[in-house]
Amino acid sequence: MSIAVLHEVYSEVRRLSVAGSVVAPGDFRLKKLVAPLKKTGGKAPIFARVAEVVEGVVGSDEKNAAERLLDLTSLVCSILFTQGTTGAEGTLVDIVSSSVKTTKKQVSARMLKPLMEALTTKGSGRLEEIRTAIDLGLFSDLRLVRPALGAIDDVYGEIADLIADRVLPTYGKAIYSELKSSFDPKGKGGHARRLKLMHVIDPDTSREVVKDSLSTGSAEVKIAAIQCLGDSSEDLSYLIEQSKAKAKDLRGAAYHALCKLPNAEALEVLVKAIDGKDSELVARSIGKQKPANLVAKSLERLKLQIPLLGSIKDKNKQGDAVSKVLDLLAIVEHEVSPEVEKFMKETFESASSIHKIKSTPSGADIIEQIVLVLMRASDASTRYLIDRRDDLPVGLFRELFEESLEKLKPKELFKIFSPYVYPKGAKKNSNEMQRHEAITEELRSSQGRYWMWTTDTSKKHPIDIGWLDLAIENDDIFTVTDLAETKHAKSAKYLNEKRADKRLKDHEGDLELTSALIRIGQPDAAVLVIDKLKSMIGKKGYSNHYGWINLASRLDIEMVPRLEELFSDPKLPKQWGDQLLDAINTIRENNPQRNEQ
Amino acid sequence: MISIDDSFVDSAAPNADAVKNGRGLVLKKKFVKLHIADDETILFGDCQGSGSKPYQCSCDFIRPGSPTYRCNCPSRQFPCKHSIGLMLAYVQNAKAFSVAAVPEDLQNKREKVVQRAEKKAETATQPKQVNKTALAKKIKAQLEGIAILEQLTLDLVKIGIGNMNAKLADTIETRAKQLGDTFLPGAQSALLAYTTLFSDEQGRFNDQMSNSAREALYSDALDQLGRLHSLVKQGRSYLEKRLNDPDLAPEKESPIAAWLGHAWQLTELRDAGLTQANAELLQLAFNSHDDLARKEFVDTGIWVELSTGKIATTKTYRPYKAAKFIKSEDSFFQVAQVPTLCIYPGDMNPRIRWDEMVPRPPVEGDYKRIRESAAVDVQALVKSVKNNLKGPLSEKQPVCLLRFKKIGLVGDAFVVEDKAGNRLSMTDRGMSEEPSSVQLMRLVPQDTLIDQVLVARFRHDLDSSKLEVKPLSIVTGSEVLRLTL
Repeated sequence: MSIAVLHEVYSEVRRLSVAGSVVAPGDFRLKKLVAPLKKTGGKAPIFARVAEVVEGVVGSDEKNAAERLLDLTSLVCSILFTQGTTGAEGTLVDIVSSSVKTTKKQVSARMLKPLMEALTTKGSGRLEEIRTAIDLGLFSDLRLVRPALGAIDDVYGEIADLIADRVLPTYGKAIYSELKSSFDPKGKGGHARRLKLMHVIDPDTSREVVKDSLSTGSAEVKIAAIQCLGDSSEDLSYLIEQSKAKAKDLRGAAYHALCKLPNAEALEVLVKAIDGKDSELVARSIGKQKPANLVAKSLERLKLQIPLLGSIKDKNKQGDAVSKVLDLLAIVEHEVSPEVEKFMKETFESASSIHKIKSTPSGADIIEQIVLVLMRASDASTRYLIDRRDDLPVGLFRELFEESLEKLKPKELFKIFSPYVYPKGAKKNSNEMQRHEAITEELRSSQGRYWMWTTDTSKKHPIDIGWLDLAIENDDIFTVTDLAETKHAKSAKYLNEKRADKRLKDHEGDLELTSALIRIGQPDAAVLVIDKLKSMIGKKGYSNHYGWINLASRLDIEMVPRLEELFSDPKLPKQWGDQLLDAINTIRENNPQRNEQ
Repeated sequence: MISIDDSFVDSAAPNADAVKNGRGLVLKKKFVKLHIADDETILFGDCQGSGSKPYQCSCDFIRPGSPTYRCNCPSRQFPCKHSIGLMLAYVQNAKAFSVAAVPEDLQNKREKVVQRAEKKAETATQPKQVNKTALAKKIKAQLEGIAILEQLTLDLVKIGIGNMNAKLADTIETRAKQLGDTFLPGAQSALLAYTTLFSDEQGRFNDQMSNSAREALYSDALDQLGRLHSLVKQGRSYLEKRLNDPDLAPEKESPIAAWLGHAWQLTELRDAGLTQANAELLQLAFNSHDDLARKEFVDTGIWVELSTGKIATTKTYRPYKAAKFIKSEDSFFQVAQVPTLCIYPGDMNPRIRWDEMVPRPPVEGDYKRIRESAAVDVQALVKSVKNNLKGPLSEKQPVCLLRFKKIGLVGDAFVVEDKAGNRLSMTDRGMSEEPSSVQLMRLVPQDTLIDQVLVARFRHDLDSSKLEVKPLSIVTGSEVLRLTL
């Protein structure tokens, strides 16, 4: 069957339908097709029928043109539907399929659809949906591959980063061609992510793309390209070139990469940078690396520059010099060798002269930085600082106490630091008072107490009982509630007395006291909680029911019937019900065996 | 014995939130009582809600193919999160359910359900009374609607597809409402499907559409006008026949009744003998899309009946306004054992429905049966597809099973080839109800590209005159690898 003429009829019908059937009567182009249709109609009657209907359209008038055109449409379409071509000429080659591992059990549409929407739309709440899906392993369903690829350009950078870091690398080389085909070196964040991904997935194949990006890419793509470079000599020359770039971010990325390279040329560039204006950039770019050679060079410069600081008269120039020293210290702290430690101690010994430097930043900033470096350097240097504790800036006293808490035995810690607490006659904000507050605050937080007075025992530091005695002696109620111990009779007595003190009854401290009593196993404490909750039901105005119900969740299993009784109280506000039920369940979960009984 | 699992509960739930909330109730231990009857046909329990008294919920499996869910909570979702939670609690730990006597009020309700089912079965056997006067009145109204549709169609052709504009689209939509008033919801949807071609994603007339985009949709628009024209002709002839013979049952040889908007009842389908006993169905694909023309969400399941190898579809329509209260369907991974499968009149992929179903896990034999029933010859398959396509009111994008030798590339085009070397090109063009799937061929495991069964949706492109396929799934010897949703 020669269907070319039918296609011609269809395109004429289409043309007339688009223009409107009013132009169909007498249409010349359609009329021209009647003859060839009739000719073929001799062999295939259907063509004769088409010719007849075409004649009907051509011979129509304004009234019936539309109907006749539709008749022709239906007829031609139904014939053409039987004449569709299939197949594809040429050699059929294998598809290089991927290593995407699909789950045996595919994800249901109900789970997949919201996730697809989270990946392809905008709006809040999507990050959590995607995180949950990652944790559940849903992304191994291959239907999510393309939406995940699209999410690399998500307007919300955190989603794009999450997908680029945790999802897309798992698809491996399967997505390489897709990444490459959609990569635009002039593009922004999404394209920088693409480049990094291509490098992670296939470093060899992506090599040329990385090189091109270094020369033609946008700033973001160039930074990504720099991050993809390795330690070959070719890469080194690229990095050296980029370290001279105008854009600060590019130079920073180049310095970061150079810090990883253990060769003289890289070091030369870095040293030039720290001697020039880029010392801060180098210090910030090091990251978690330990560039030993650079540290050595920085130390050399510190040794030369610190003694000269005092002699600079111009305050601005002095401030610049101090900034440089701070940058060098920031580099040095990445690898604190014994030589560095020795230098730091020597510098600390001359703290008084450095303190005299009053520029912005000042000598005090240098001392503070040195103390912080020493504090983290070694046990010996911590011990050194403990011995020199009175010379330390008062603002660093809490850090020193925190380190000491880790490194000293409880008795020794108490012996060294207890003289600083509860200073007699000390004024507010005085150095003495600041040291006292630093110690008591750190002691309290060292017991792993958190919001709603829950305790994380894994974070609890052993401390000398002397601290508790001191707190009771000095009537420091908050420290006692946090430090109170089960076997310390004095603290139980103190807390019970305080609890009975009418002045405290409706105070916020009431909750803390009761919490401490429960923690140290005081038998009456549970009743206090129940009674308190009972008294709050039906009471108007603010009440911290949330805190008290939370406390109820720490009661013993024997108290569950009392709590259930409370739960069935018809006056119990609706919003309390759920929380109280959760508290009861928590008690049951914490006492599984006793619960079964 | 109650045999349910997570996927059963998922499929019973009205939506994803209901499952999530039900699971939350179990996790929070909100169920204060968990019981099972001694004959193991019903689960019942108390679930603490926001009120002071717990909700009493139950899941009754006395009719395993059609469980009954009850709860005294005020939710309009069905089953509610409490019933779902109850089932999940049972799936997670059946031992937590203690044997107890079914409460009296619940027992009474159960008895009533059984009585109602018996009565329904009894009435189903009785001949249906037809109010002939009312039927004649309805048909006359439908004929009037057909006249409106005819006039509108002719007007559209007269004005020309290229002259479609926002004002005209508004006018058509207003007139389309009249078709709904004349008991022709199907015709109304067909008319709105034409205007929807020119709409944006929100369903408004897209006056920002580029010339090339408009040009690309003219063929589909013309095809749709052709369909409306055929609908008018066939619809009028069918309605006139019924007007002259009030005893004539709805047409069961062609889908014209459904095209006009006849909502087939299961009893009607049974009466018309459009059923299959003891069918076993495995879902091959599932999608849920927003039909702007119908103003409904449509959940479509593509199923294969394992004994015949025929492909059928399930459709659940959820009007926007009631979407929250109608159960959304979900992918179904088990085999549905259906005692009585009702089949709508139709061609290649008729719509199917059932009121009772018992699930069972699929076994390798099921996949073997699919493989055996799939077409092995592209030419023969194409012939039958073309034969179907030529009907003006037939399904224009039918789904078929094809056992292929290989899926590969010819240039940049993905191609599926049969044993004899006959080929079909793959495309996503013109089939937007499901997400694109052709490119996934690069991601599927290598062994799924050789000698497997393709679940393919066909489409004839009038502009290029090509018949191409969109891959929906690949059936291997042990699984259905879904490519769309």
